[in-house]
Formats: sequence, C-alpha cells, structure tokens
Amino acid sequence: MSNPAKILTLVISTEIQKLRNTVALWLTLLYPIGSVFLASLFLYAGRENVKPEMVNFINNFNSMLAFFLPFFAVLMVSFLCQVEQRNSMPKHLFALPVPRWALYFGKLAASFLLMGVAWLLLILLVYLSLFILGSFSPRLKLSSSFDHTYLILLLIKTFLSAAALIVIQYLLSLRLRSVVAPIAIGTSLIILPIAILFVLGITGLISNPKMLEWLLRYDPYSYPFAFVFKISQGGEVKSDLFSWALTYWLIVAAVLSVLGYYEWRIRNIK
Amino acid sequence: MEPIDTNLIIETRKLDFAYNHQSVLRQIDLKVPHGSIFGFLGPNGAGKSTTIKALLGLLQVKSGMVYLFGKEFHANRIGLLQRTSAMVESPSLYEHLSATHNLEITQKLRQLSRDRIGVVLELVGLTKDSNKKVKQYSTGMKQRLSLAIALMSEPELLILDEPINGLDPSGIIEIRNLLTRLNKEANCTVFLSSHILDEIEKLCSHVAVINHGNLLFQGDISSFMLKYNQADSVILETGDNVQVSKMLLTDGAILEKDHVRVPFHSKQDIASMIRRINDAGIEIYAVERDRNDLESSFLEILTEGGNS
Repeated sequence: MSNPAKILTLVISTEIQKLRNTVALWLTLLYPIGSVFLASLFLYAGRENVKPEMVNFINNFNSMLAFFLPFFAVLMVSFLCQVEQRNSMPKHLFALPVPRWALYFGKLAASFLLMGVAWLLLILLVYLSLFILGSFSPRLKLSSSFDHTYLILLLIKTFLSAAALIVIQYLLSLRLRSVVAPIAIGTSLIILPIAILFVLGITGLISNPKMLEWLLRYDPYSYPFAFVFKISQGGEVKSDLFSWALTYWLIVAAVLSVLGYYEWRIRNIK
Repeated sequence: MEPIDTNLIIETRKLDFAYNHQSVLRQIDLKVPHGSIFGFLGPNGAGKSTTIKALLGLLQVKSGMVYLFGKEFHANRIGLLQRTSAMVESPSLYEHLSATHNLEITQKLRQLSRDRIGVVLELVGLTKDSNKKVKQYSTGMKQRLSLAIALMSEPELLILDEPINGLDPSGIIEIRNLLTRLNKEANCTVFLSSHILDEIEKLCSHVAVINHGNLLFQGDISSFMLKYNQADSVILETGDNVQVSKMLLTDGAILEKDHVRVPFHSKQDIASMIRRINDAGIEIYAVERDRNDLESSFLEILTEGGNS
C-alpha cells in the first residue's frame, strides 16, 4: 500500500460506505430540498412584486441556501465524525495497516464530498423549481436571459465560504467524543454575531447593517451570512469570486487542516 | 543495545506510559514467543488494555521500545500491522451497518479478497445473521463479529483484549477451539488478555501477570504453576475439628470455619492422616481434595506483587 492516491481513494470509499442510514447523509439530501422549497415558496408568494429578472431569482435562492449553509455544515460534519466516536472505532481504524494521514484526510475529504453532493443537488433543484414555478406563473418563467454561469459561480462561492467552518468543526468533532458538544459550540458561533447585529439594530445603535458586515467576515461560522446581506443590498458577487475575505478563509481552512493533522498524528487513542 | 531475539514475536523494552502524569505502565519487558498462545492476566485497571494499545501504536509511550516480529514498531508500523490483527477492549463495530458491511470496510482497507468475508462469517458462525444490522446483535454476536474482523487478514499475530467477554458457555468453547486451531494449523501466535483464569489455564501455553502497571511474572504456564503453586490441600470434616487440627499441626493443618484444611504432597499423606484420625477415635464425615489452581497462583502472585 504505497500509492497515496490509492490509499486515499480506498479510505474515501469506505467513508461513503459508512454513510448508509446516517444523519449526515439525510442532511445532505434534506438541506438542498428544504432550502430550494422555502425559496420557491417565497418567490411564488411574492410573484406579483418580484422583478421578473433572472438575477433576482438566483439571488433569492442563494440567500436562502446561504442562510441554512452554516447549520447544515455544522450538523453534517458533527454527525459524520460521530459515526466513529459513537462506535469506539478510532482504536480499530488506527490498528489497521493504513497511514494515519489517510484516515484523517479521508474523512475530511468525505465532508467536502457531501458538500459537493449538496451543491450539485441544489443546482438541479433550482432549475427544477424554476421550471415548475414558470408553469404556474409566467413572471417566474425561465427566460433566455437566465445567467447559468452566475448561478454556478454564486453557489460555488457560497459553498467555499463554509470551508473554514467545515475544517474547524471537523477538528472539534474529532476531539470531542460527544456529538452534542461540537454541535452546541458550532451553533453558538453561528448565532452569536447575528444576535449581536440584531440587538444593535433593535437598540438603534446601528442603522445600516452594512456597517457591521465586517463582523460576519471575522467569524467563519457566520461568514456565509455575508452573502445574504450583500445580495440583499444589491451587491455584485460574480465579479469577486475570490474576494480577499473568501481567499483568507480558504487559506485558514488549508492551514488548519494541516495543523489538525499533526495533532491527530500524535494523539493517544484511549 | 541488547540484540533482538528473533524467537520473540512481541518484545517490549522498558515500556513506560502515563495518563495525565499518572504512571500506568512501568518498565514493562514483555517477551512473547513465536507460536505461543500467550495469556495476559491482571485485575481491572492493572494495565492490560494499555499495554495492548501501546503494542499497536495507539498510545504515544513515554519511553521504551516495542518490537513486533523483531522489528521496531514505529519505524515499520504499516508492514507490521499487515501481519497483525487486533481486537481492543469492547467490540468496535459500526452498529448501523450489517455484519457484511462491517467486514467489507476492513476488507477494503486491508485490500483483501472479498471471499474472506464468507470464510470468516462461517468461522464465527454468523453466516445466517450476516445481513442483520449489528445493533440488533447480542453482546456475544458482536464479540464474534469483532473476532471475524480480526481474522479477515489471516494474521500471523492475533492480539485480543478480553475476547470471551459476553460469550455464553458454548460460545466460549467454540472460540477456545477456534483459537487453538488457528494456533496449531495456521501457526498464528495469539496474545490475549482475560479475567477468566479458567480459560487461560485451558487455552494458554504461556502467561504473564500484570498489576498496577508492573509485570509480575511471565513464562510458560507450567513454570508459573510450579513456582506459585503450593501443595494441594485436603479438607476434613470430622467429629472434633479442634482436636484434629491439633493432632495434624505438624502437617500444617489449619482450623477453618467448619473444617480442617491440611496440605499434602502425595496420596499416601491423605491415607496416613485418615488412619491417625481413626486411631484417635474421631469420626470423619467428609474428605474433600482442594486442588490448587491458576486462580490461587494468580492471587498469590498479586499479593506477593502488592507486598513487594
């Protein structure tokens, strides 16, 4: 077993096999279905007021999925790791003739793979939804002005915004044996900045949410929400696919995943 | 440095391990010969599972060395684990999957032939239940499945931590026979820890005793019995136990609750005792032979280790 690519492929294939009947797999299916369904519902309910511009439709879908993305990522990663922790599997896996790096990066890759599956499903479901909505309302009909590239790039960017979140949640879930603790920490980190914004808004300390957009940028857990805000203010997303904030969080994700591996490599399996 | 003994399949040298600055293993020098069935005995918390985890590289030992098949473990981890299989503590199984799927995961990660799945299921008697989810299994079935996973790779060295826990008597006999067969026919060295002394006595050719992280004894089972076995004793219930205990005092008689215990070395010793009691006109109600076994040797070694 000397070919690293082969080893990693083997580990990822077993990770996929372990997903049968797991919450992580169900979440991967439910998240796209739920977000597209809700976005479609809002779109249909406001069909008389919505500007029949294709870009508005796309932004509408993206806002909904960006809002649920951190919750999905936290739950999916936590439950994916829980498959091992719940069954005391680390000691079995570490006693197999498989390099530790393959076990670590294999599961991390499986987390990103599930994100990829959700992303693909979302794209399919957005098209399906617009096709169905168009048959009910002519204002929502797919037109030739529909920018397919914009849809795909926007979704890629939104998904990449959760990369650092996924890595941090992965490290937390590997470290903590109980599934409740990483979920509680992750959810708190998602909600906290939003709660601060909300309280500041109510108390009148801020009048324009844009003033606090930076707050979202510095919390990887609520960073995907920045897309909801930006789009709601009519911001352009396509032109800055790799904006400084996104690039920064992608680098953080890469660095953390490597540092996490060094910690995992020397960990005692009790 | 002392040369590696190639007759040993497992060798540790001055193995030390501590959890949160609390020493769990102290200077363990374990020597497991090739082809043996090696019983690893010790009470709860003695350090048995910790030793097994250290052997498999699951723990970062503070100091000391681990050698498997005559090679240093950490420098040769993958190659050595290819020749070794292990079952550590409670069965590690994906409970939401079937037995077949559990075995498939090990088969893929070890890159084995898929045919092995059927073979090991047959070996542990789980063929009929192979498609059931593991969460529906009894403790004994889970234990068998864990063993099946360990046997997937036809290992040269099988390390088992409490393998007969949760098994019913017939299951214990089956596993005992299976391990004996593997040892004899496949030349597989078996290293197993257990609390069940009777099983160790029936199964093992060699034994080691650990307590409070200290290795108190290791060697073949006959030398263990010889070293720690005192003479067997006879239990006498008589019409006057006090008088009998006085009469046989020079033989080492001890007056216990409702009987007298007297050690003996030969059958002639027993006949002589009975004759003397009869001659004294004391009635004998019962004579019972109390064979000294592994349990008493084990208790003795623990007491001796604790006192030292």
